[in-house]
Amino acid sequence: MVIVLGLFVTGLLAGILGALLGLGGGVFLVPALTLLFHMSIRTAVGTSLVGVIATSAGVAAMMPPGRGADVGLALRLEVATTAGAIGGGLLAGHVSPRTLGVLFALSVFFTAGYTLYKARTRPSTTPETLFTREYTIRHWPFGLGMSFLAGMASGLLGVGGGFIKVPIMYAIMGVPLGVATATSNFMVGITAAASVFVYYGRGDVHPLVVIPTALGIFSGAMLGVRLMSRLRVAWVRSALVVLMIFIGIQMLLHSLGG
Amino acid sequence: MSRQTEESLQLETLMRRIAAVVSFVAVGLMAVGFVDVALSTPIHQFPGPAAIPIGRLIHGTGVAWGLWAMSAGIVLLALLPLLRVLLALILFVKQRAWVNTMAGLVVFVELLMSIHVEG
Repeated sequence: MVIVLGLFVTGLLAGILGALLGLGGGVFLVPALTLLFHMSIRTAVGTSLVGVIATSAGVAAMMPPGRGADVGLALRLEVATTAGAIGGGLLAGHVSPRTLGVLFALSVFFTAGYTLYKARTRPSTTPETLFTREYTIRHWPFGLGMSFLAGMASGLLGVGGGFIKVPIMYAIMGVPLGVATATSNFMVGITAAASVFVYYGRGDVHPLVVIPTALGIFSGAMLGVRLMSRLRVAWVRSALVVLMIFIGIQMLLHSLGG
Repeated sequence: MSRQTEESLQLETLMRRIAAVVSFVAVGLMAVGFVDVALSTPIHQFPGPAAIPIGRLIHGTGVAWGLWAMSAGIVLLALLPLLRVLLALILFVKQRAWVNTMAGLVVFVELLMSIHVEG
């Protein structure tokens, strides 16, 4: 029961931290499961993918109408993202845990950089601007290419991929930030579903680990969204960037045998 | 409000309801199965058994009930995105948005293929 509680609390914290940064919890959950619970990285990734689906479903159930995704855009990008996710999931079965760990550490550093980039861009925050439907989508080939990479990252590393998708849609493809974020959230569930079955078929999904963790990460994500309005976001963001860099270093050391 | 916007809002509402219902059923199955198995699994056996392969899950023969329920709940949750894609497909067909329909169809087929791919 102690382990079950520990897994739930780990998921809860990962969900809260992820929500505070506008990310999924995978970037915190996978290192926690490998470093603290000594699970194989493939088991950790399989667990994280189920958590991503659970969180995406929860957010979808709570999303107010009119603040939703551009579903057409999501599906067109998902053609590439899903293919990448399946490829990533399959590739994970042939890549050594050490290499996966190093790749994950690099993705954590990238995510920390993305978080700092988000802090520097200050778009208009009026709902009308964030969720306007008047926009023209540009740079399709680049967007599709990056979506494929985001899917690959999701399938390989158990992250949602939103830290690639949102800036690509917003900064490159011309999608308003609110729509990009909602669209990304619609997409991450589908992307995770594409690779989770690969992990499931390979025996990397362990229900006794997945269930308390996914429940924790879902609860944490919902709680984190509520906490955002009560905390000084800039301070929290800085602290979490430092934490991510620390986690990235620990994953590197762990993978390289340090 | 245009007909397309109204249909999109209806789709969003339907997706919300379906997400809530499917999530509720999936969590219920997982919770019941979890209670059945976790209480009888010693700590040193964690992470415990892998989820039951989908083929055996469907046939349901020769598997422990608790593990079956947990595995079924996980699969149901993982199928939710497929349902959402299917709903979107239906909407796009009604709207005669053929590019979106083709994209949705490709994604749906990719997701179905992922279920049959073995890692």
